[in-house]
Amino acid sequence: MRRLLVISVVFVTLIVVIDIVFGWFADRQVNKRALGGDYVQVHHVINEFDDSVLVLGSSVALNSINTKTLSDSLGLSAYNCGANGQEFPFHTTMLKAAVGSGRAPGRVILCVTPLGMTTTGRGSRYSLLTPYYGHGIADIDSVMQTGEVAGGYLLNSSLYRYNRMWFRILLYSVMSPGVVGENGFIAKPVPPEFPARFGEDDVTVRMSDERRRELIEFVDICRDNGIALWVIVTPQYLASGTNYSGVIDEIMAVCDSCGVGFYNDLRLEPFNSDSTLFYDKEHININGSAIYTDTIVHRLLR
Amino acid sequence: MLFNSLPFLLFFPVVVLIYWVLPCRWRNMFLLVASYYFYMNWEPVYAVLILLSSVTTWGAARLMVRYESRARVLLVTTLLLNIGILFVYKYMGFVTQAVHDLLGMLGIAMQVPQFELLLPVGISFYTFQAIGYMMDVYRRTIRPESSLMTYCLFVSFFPQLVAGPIERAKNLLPQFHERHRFDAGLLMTGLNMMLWGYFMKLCIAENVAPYVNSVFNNIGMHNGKSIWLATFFFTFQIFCDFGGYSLIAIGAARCMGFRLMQNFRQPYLARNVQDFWRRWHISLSSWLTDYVYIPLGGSRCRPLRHHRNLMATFLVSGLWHGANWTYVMWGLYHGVLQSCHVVRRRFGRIDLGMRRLSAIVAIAFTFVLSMLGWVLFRANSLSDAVTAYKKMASLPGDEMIYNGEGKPEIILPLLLIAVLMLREIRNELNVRVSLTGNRNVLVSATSITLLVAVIMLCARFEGGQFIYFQF
Repeated sequence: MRRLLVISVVFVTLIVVIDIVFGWFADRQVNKRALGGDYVQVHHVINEFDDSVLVLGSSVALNSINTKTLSDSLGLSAYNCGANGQEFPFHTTMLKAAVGSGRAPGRVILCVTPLGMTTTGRGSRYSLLTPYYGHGIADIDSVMQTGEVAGGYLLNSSLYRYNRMWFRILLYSVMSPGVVGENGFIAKPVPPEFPARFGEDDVTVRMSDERRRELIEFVDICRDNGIALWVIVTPQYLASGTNYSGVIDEIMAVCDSCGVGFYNDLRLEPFNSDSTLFYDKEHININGSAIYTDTIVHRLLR
Repeated sequence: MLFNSLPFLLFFPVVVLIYWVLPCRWRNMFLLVASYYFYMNWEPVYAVLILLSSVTTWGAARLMVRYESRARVLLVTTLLLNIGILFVYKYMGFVTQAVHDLLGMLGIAMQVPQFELLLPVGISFYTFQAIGYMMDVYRRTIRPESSLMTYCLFVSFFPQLVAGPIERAKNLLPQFHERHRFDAGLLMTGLNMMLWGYFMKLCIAENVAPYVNSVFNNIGMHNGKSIWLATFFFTFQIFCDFGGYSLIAIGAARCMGFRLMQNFRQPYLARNVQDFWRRWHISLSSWLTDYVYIPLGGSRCRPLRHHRNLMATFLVSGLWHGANWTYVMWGLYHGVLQSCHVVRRRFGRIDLGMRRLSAIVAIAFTFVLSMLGWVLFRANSLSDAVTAYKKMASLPGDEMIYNGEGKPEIILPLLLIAVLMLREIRNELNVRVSLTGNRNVLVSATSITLLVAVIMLCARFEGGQFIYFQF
C-alpha cells in the first residue's frame, strides 16, 4: 500500500513537471522558429502575412490554384493557405488571422466542395492549430474549446495540446514535406491510375445550417474589411447525373444575396471530360492545376 | 461503453473502489449490476439476450446433472438455442444474401427476405463462453454452478464481456467463490497492464487506422507499395486493437483480484503457422481445439481426416469472426497453411545450419504469411482482396501514396511499432527487467510517468471502436 502511495505521489509530481517543461520548450519552438510541413502556410498567415490574394479551402484549394503562377501573371502577391482535410472553421480562422495581422488581403478565393458544405463540426484536423492555443489568437482558442471534454480543461496540458503535433513539427524541422511549391501551393502528382467517375444520379444533398452560418460569417468578415471574395466550387470527376444541385443552389443563393462572386466549376471543361487531369476523383493533378490556374488568371484579368 | 472512452475512465475507478469497500458477500452482486450497466450503456434491450442465454444455460446444466439420461438432449437443445440466437443476429443476413445470389446465378428470380438486425456487441464471445460451460458440464470436467447470480456474472463479467478473453468456467467460476483480499501489488500490476493496453490501442491501432482505411476503402486508387504498407499497418492494427483490449480487460479484472487467461503471447514472433495459433487469440484457438478440433478426431486419425479436421476448425474460426466471404476465405487460408505445415513436418525440418539465423528466417516467413492472410480479413470484399494481391505482386516503381495527413502519420506509428516489438522481444526472451513494474519505486514511478506522457503525446483520442466488438 505504501509503495502504491509513493508511486502515485511521484507520478503526479513528475507528470506535472514534464508537462510544464515540455510546454515551455515546445511553445518556444513554435514562437521562435518557422515551422515546416503543413505549418508553413499556417505560420505564414499568422506571422508573416502581407499578400494581395489569399486562397483558402481544404486540399482542393491547396492542389488546384498555383499561387506562384497567379502572382507572376497578375503582378500581385498571392498565397495559398489550403490545408488537407480541413473543414470550414479552419478557413474562417485563417481569414481572421490574416485580417488580424493588420494587412488584410485585397481578394480572397474560397474553394469549396459540395459535400464539404454538408458537414458539421470543426473536423479532426483542426488540431493542427493546437500549438497556437493560448497564443493570443482568440478564434483558435474558442474553436479549440468547443467540443472539448470538460470545457477544454485538458487543453491546459501541453502534453495533450501537442498530442501528435509535436512529431509533425519535429519531423518537418528535419525533413522536406514533399513537393512544396512557392507561395503555399502544393501540386498533386500524376497518379498511376486515373480515377473513374464517381457519384450517383439522384444525389440531393443540402448545406448544413452550421456551414450556412459560417459562410455568412465569412462573407461578413470580408465585407467589413473591404475584401473582394470569390467562392469557387472546384472541378470534380463526376458521373453524368451527379450535380449536387441542392447544395450548389444554396451556396449560390448565399453568395448572390451578399453580392459575392460565385463560380461553379464542378463540371468545368476540359476537366469534365478528361480524367488525366485528376489525381483522384476530387483533386486535380499538377497538369490540371496548370490549366485551372490559367482559368482563374483569365477570370481575374477580366 | 468503450474502454477508451471517458465514461469508462470514470466508471472503472468507481467500480473498483466500491468493490473493495463492500463486504465480500455483496461483491458478486455488485459486479453483476455493474456488468449489466456496462453492457446496457450500449444497447439496453440486448442485455435480455445475455440474460436469456445465461438463465437457459444455467438451468440446463443443473438439469443435466439431475437427469443424466437426458443429458445429451439437454445439451443439444441448449446448444441449438445459443447457436440459434447467434445465427439469427449474426448470420441470417449473410445466409439469405448467399441464397439470393445463388438463385440469381441459377437464373431464378425470387425475393428472399433481407435481414438487417443490429449485431449485439460481444455476442460471439459470450455465446462461446456459455457453450464451453455446457460442454464442460456434459463432459463432467466441471460441476454445474449452483448460484444463478454467480453464473450470470461468469457470462457477463464486464472486463471480458464484449471481446473476451473467452474464459473457461474451470478458470473463472471458482474465482467468484474466493474471498479476494485487497492487494496493492496486484492493483499496480493490473493498472500497468491496462496502461500498456491503452498504449497498444490508442498509440498504435488508432494511429495506423486512418491510413489502413484510406487504402483498403479505395483499393483501386493505390499502388502496390501503399497496399503493402497498409497491410503491414493492419497487421499491427488488428494485434494492437485486440491485444490492447485483452490487456486492458485482463488488467481491469486483476485490479479486482481476478486472473483472466492470457490471450496473446508475442504472436508475431511465432516460428511457424501452428506456433502462431498457439500465440494468437489463445482463448479462441484453445476453445476451438477443445470443442471442435478434438471432437472431430484431432490429429490422431488418418492423414486425410486430419487435414479435414484442420480445415473444418479454421472454417469455424473464420465464420466466428464474421458473416462475410472474406472471413470464410481467411479461415480457409489458415486451414490450408496448417495443412501445409503438417505435411512439411512429416517430411522433416529444413535445417539452415545456423540455429539463430534459421529462427529469424522462420519468424519473418511466418510474419509475412500472417500478413498476407490479413488482406483477406481487412478487404471490404473478395474482389478487393484479389485486387490487393495483384497490386502487391506487381510492386510498381511509383511513389508511395500518402493520405491527406502525410508522412508524419506513417513515421510515428512505425516508431511506436518498433517500441512495441522491443517489448515483445523482451517478453519472448523472458528478460525479467521490467521498468514499469520495477522493484525500485522511483524507477517504476518514472517509467509509468514516461509511458503516460508518451500516450498523451502520441495517442489518437478519437474514440475509435475496437475491431473485435463487431464479432
